[in-house]
Amino acid sequence: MTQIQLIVNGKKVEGNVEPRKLLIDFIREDLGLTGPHIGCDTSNCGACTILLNGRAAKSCTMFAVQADGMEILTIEGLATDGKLHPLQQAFHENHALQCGYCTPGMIMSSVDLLSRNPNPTEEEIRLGISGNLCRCTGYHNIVKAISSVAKSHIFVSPVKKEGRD
Amino acid sequence: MASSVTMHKEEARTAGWIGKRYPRKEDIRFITGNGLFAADIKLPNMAYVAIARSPYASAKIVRIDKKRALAVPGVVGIFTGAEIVEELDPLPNLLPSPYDRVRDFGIAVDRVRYAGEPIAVIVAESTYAAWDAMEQLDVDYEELPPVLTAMTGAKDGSPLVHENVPTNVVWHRKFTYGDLDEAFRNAHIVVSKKLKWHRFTSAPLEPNVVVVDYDARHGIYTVWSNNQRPAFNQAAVAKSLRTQANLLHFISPDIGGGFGIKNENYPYIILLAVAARWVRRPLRWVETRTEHMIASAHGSEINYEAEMALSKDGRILGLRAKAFHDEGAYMRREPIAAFNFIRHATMTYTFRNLEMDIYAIVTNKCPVGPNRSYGKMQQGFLVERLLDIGARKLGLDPIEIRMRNFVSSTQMPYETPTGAMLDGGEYAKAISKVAENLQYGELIKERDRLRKSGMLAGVGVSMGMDACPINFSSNRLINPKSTASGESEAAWVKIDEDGNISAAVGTSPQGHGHETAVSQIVAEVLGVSPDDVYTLPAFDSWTHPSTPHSGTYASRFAIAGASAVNGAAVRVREKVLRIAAHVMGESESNLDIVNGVVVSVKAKPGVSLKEIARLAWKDLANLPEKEEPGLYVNLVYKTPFKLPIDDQRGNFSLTYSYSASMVLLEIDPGTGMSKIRRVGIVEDSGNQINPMIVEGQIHGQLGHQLGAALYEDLVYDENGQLLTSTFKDYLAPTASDLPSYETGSIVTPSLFTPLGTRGMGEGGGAPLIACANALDDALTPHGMEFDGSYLSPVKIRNIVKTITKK
Amino acid sequence: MYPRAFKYERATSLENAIELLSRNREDVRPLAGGMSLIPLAKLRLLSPGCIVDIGRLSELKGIKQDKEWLEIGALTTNTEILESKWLSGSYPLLLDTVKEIGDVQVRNRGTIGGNLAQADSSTDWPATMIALRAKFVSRGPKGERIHDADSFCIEPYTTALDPDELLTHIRVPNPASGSVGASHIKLERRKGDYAIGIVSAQLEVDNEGKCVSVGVGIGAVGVIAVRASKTEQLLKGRRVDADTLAKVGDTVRDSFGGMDILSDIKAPSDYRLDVIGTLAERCISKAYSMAASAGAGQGKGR
Repeated sequence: MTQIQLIVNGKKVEGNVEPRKLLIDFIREDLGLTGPHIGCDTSNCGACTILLNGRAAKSCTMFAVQADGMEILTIEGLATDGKLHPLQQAFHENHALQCGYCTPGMIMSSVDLLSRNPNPTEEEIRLGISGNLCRCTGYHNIVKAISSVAKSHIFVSPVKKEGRD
Repeated sequence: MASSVTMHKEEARTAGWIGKRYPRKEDIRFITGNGLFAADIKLPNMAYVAIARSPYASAKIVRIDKKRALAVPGVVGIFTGAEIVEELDPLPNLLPSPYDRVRDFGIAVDRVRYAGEPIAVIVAESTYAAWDAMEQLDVDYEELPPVLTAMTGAKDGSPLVHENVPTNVVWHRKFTYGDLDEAFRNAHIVVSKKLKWHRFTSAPLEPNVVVVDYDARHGIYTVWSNNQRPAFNQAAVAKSLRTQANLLHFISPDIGGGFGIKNENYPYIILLAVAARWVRRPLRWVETRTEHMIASAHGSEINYEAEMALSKDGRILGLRAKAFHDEGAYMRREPIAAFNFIRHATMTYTFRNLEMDIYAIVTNKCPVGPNRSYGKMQQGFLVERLLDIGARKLGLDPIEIRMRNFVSSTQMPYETPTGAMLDGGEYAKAISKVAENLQYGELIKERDRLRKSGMLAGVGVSMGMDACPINFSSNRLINPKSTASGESEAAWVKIDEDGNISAAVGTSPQGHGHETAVSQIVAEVLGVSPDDVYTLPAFDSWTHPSTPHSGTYASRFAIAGASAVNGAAVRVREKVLRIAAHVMGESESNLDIVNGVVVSVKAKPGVSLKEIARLAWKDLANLPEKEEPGLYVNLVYKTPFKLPIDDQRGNFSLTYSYSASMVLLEIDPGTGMSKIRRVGIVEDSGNQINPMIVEGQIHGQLGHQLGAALYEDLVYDENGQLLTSTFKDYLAPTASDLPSYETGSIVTPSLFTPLGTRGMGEGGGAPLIACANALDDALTPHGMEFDGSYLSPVKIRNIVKTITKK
Repeated sequence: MYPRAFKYERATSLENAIELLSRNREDVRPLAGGMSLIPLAKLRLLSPGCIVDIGRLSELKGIKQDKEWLEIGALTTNTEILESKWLSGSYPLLLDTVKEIGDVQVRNRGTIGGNLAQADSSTDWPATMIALRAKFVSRGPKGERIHDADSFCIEPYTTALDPDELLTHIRVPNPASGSVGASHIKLERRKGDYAIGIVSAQLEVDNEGKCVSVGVGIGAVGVIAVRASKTEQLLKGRRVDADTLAKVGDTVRDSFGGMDILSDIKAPSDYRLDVIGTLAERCISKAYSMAASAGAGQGKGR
């Protein structure tokens, strides 16, 4: 077992994990944050996407020990002061989710996208979320939701500047 | 007591919650990461399950030695199929004798019949430990030759998948309507074609999950699963477990997509139930994606040998087809996919002569099960492909040939030769509208420009139909011993003593937004806002109403679910008005509910619903004498179905929503890769409860259908190993692979449902079929044709090579 | 999925990493971004007894330019490369390659060195490195070694590195002139997949539009990425006209010698061999147009 310490959604957390434990299992089972999901075995679906030091990462493709000392933001930490993040609001208003299983990962990838490209084209939006599979929406309204946030310039990066590489 | 609000009846009618694009109530928990999915359930003292599976498609199990596996740290117990089935009765199947002897326990006993079939249940302190133990389980197999296609399985002398039945053709029926000989004698042309419908699956993003907690004090099993039809499956599970359904507490929390596939996780419920009882601990099993792909359920796979007779002016005179269905190893719902052609066998067209010769054949592959537009899009494929080829042979425009064959709106309701009663619609208008939306003429020019630039390009159109829900009397045509008929759904609506409004329905949604739709219906009837209605999420057999047909499948919510909720709300409303009339000294017919207040046309002071609720529950002496206390109505809606007309005809669905789709497909001749440049669809699902949700469902069908046409294919090798067992090889498309969609609706209310709604979630497969038709349009100028439903670049490139010799 | 148990060591320095690898050299794998190792470990297709986490070695991160080359630290992530200031100018092939890699999550975690050490022909970097005639610097117990991109990969998933040796830096030669054209074309069944055909090319043209230097790498066809030598010979000293382009396909197909050709459900070997010619034509044509227009005024494009 290995001792790890990290900051998750702004709070310091500690864990004692088997080195083989995947970060997603640590987040879901040990921390009880069940927003990020598991949808595949091969790092394709992106349902487990979180922000790791400010950048989108598939938490199924990391060992928890690798995240020692790092800062993690999961979907649970995106809304601030009880107020939805503009992307969350846009997903709601544009009917960009149906079953909601891919949604947490999809939103976190969208955060990464708009953090680095505030004015993406439709093609860039589609590329930006190409690491996240959705089986319900056919992506149409997801693209619309992300685009609406970009066009109205209401995106706010949830990541503190110094948190980013 | 009296409110100062007064309103008139006309104003009340403007509430109009049904038909509004109302953002979904359930969204908030999902976008904040607070959804509750089955894999999120964690109970004290929980242990974790891994399922050991057969690596072979067909083999005898000679010996299972648990010794090394039991020694792995953290292992709690290991139970083989032979041990578990001692506690079980076989799961039911629909087949007539002697094929009802096909035994299914959800786990192999002494013989495995597909690669991935469960052979043992491993319980451990963690999932990691359970997988460690699985690797140490010693199993000796004696391999047998597998049956891997329907066509080989149907041959005399083929190895048997189930040794206790006479052949692999476990169900065969020929259905004949009209006079085929006459039709083909009069034909100007006959289109003869072998067509292949490829195996794919809707692959919901959340794999199957089962959690079981056994309470020995009461003999109760609490089952959390993402089963999309829990109330329906409860009975079969209870029977197999040799217990009573009312001792099973079934909960389906939020479900991460279903699409039919999640009807089929019930075999795991019985396995976990037995194991949970034995180890006396709550158990959780979470399927991996690989397990999902190899061993949950696949969509159907069909070889058609078909011919269509057409007149000179393009009228369909008759259709004759043999359909060979590869059913996989077990017959769980099947042969329903094979039988479902009957729901709308002649699609949107008027032809009367039809012969369908159906063979259901078991093979050593993953069992087939319900999959979005189950058996229905396949019939669409058959009809629409042949008609399209016919159009080209006759030199007719594909839209024109369809126009010449449509059932017209003036013929509605229209009884088809199989007895389906089409419930209204304007088919010509739908195809015209999609042509208008995509500017058909311009699209053809664009196609021609692409061709000039060196690309292969084609425009394809197709109609689709989505017949729903299921009149279970159709089972009688599969097995004459079946005694089922009709279908139903239950709902309750309650206003409590403080005026809080709740509603619940048995439909168990998987992303369909029923909390929102139910709230809209109740709000409309009770004159409140949807925000004032709390609709119970998910499904819990101890809190939600249900009937043996409950669940979300066969696009049934907008028919059965909505009608049940509407019916219950109407009765609550009637009671509210009766009590209000008594209190206000007014006639009920003068009353309406507006913004939560019962008001009179006579501009008297109104009485709030809250006050009526207080009276109804707590001031009982002031109630009208014959009125029972409370505002709580539990209603079971009976979908108006009849028995079959005869042994091959009947109306087996109530509504027939339909769509027209059009696609511009571009194919890179150098690689054979297809790309959708434009895709449009126009759908008519009757009155829409929430057009935003309807549109979302249409987008979803497009994603699935275009994915199936261009990317998704389940392929087995010559040993019966699934080669597309992960999302690396099973190419669920990304946002970059799919285009944006040009959707549209027309609304002709259903003639047969209380709200004029039609079921529509599954769609009819039109976009997929339009892709195949577009590929043919691209190839025909070169004298080539396509025969499949999957636009494989390798196959297309091979065809192109024969054209260009390059 | 659930990897098998392993011993975990976290390296504190390059020296420490090599020491840890040496000590466990019988059954050890270094872990950089984990984009190759972890998916295999999850499927239990690869289960080293010891994993040495080198992810925090800052001396292996970052990009700097030298007189002769651009030196990229092996642990530089693909995102860092994509966003680096160096890429837009003199190294168009690096930019064209890195933007095609996987998806954003994979680029954020995946490192260039981790990818190259995996020696997977169906990924983007190996073919590009061959086209660029890059050099790879490695460090082991016996000190530093320099490898040619061509000979670095010995067989699929096997490089010239010893088990206790680490790839530390990648050196991409600076182009000689300003008239550089490049193109990285890959065929994938679905966005972000392993490729089923990769052609990576960089051309420099003189003021008459003749190719003075040519680098062409091919991936996802042979079991390892290869140099298309015949194609390079064909193009060298020539203007790329329609006649020349027409010969590209056949010369590319000559690159594989007796090598096994990849084959899977997405693309059988005959399909890969078939389409790679078309991809190569498109790639060379694009790279040449770019080089010719970069050198506009000196020479004309086609």
